[in-house]
Amino acid sequence: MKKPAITIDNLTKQYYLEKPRTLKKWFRTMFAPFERFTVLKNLSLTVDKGEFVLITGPNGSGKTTLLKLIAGITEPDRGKIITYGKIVPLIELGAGFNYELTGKENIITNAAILGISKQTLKKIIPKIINYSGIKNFIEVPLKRYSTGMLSRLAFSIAVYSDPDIILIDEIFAVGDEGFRKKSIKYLKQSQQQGRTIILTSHFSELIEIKPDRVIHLTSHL
Amino acid sequence: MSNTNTLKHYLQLLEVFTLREIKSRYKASLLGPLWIILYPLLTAFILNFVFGTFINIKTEGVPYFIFVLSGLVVWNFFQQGVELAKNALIWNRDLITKTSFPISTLPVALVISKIPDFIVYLILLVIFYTFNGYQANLFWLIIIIVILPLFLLTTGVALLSSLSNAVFRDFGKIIEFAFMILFYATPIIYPESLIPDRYKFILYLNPLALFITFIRELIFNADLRPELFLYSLPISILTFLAGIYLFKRYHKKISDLI
Repeated sequence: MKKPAITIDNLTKQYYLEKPRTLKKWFRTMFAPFERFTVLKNLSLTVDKGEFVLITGPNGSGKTTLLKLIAGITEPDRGKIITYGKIVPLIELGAGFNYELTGKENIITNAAILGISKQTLKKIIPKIINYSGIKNFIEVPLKRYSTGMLSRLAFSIAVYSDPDIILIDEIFAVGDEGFRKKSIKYLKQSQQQGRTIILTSHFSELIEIKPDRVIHLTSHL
Repeated sequence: MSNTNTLKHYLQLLEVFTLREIKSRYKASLLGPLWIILYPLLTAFILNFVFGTFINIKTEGVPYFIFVLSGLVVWNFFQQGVELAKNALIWNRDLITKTSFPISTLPVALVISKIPDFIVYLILLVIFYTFNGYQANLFWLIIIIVILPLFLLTTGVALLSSLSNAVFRDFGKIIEFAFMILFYATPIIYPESLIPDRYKFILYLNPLALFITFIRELIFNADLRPELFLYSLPISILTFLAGIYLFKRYHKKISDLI
């Protein structure tokens, strides 16, 4: 009997097409609510523990939204999501980086956001720096980093955050060949360690590792 | 996560966000932390010139500069804390829409990052107080208890304004006007004795006025008035709880609305 990592039951998620930014617009919404755009409709899905799922689909089909819902960043309008274990969402590498501060200072902030405790961080900080391969830049403010270096740093923190469920949103589009290989190696390792992985991508053929399951979302646009 | 772990995580986030703010605040500035001292002194200097020298507000024998500085200690913490924290969510839009964590830590950390400034203001006050021929004594330490309700009040208003400002940018503007009115409605540049009797009740609805009056009675008249402190508690605590409650209720919606 397999244990579930994520169960999604009859989920529907809608976004406002126009965001209520000003009071004037808000008053109007009392009489005529904004048009809502349905991104996901009546979606049910169970992901087993240790399963590697690839989600494909065109722009606007709700791939990122699905990851955000699983991560608890946003909540569904209808339906239920239950998750088991620690989730690390990699929706965008380096979200929340402060560019005035050094690489090391950013590791400390970002690790806290990913839920790494202070004691653990003390132990793994040299490993994170080592894994990132940017040791010489670690005391330099992030504004002096290249894009590739930024994603290396962000990814390294995520690698050591010890998640049960990893959510990755098309982040392999960035970084050089070396970084790509490193991340794919990490995913393979995580799979062997029994972590649950959900990956989104435009193109399934780009992924060099075999997922257990491919889910195709269709666009409502 | 268990409750203790959640609390630990919350405190850890407060710590890193506070340090991030303090470290980055003065990184690209020439005078750095010197601004903490310059800001209240320059303000007090200007106010002293206009209201002390030109308009000549009567302060019962207390030199106007030190009189207005004692009001600014409280006012600046409140005003700067809220002004900073009202943008806490907007500035961290990326973080809120792409990662999952208790986001109330963002505005709260910004208010905490202003506590060192408050301590520096108090030290400045002691220095100029002594400089003006007064004798500071241990009695002074009582002022420290004002931090607690002042922090709760400021945090409450900071939570409410960061939340409303994230959804409606209008609130950012409304807050600016509210501050202008509040500055004159609070006895900062004038003593509370100048308020006509029939308006005295406003004093008791405004915790800031109570903090300032409490401090002034203590240091200028050597008169401990615990009732002023106690009256400030209900509104301070209620504001704080209202902020926490609304955040708890709406924090998952913010990522869609911001």
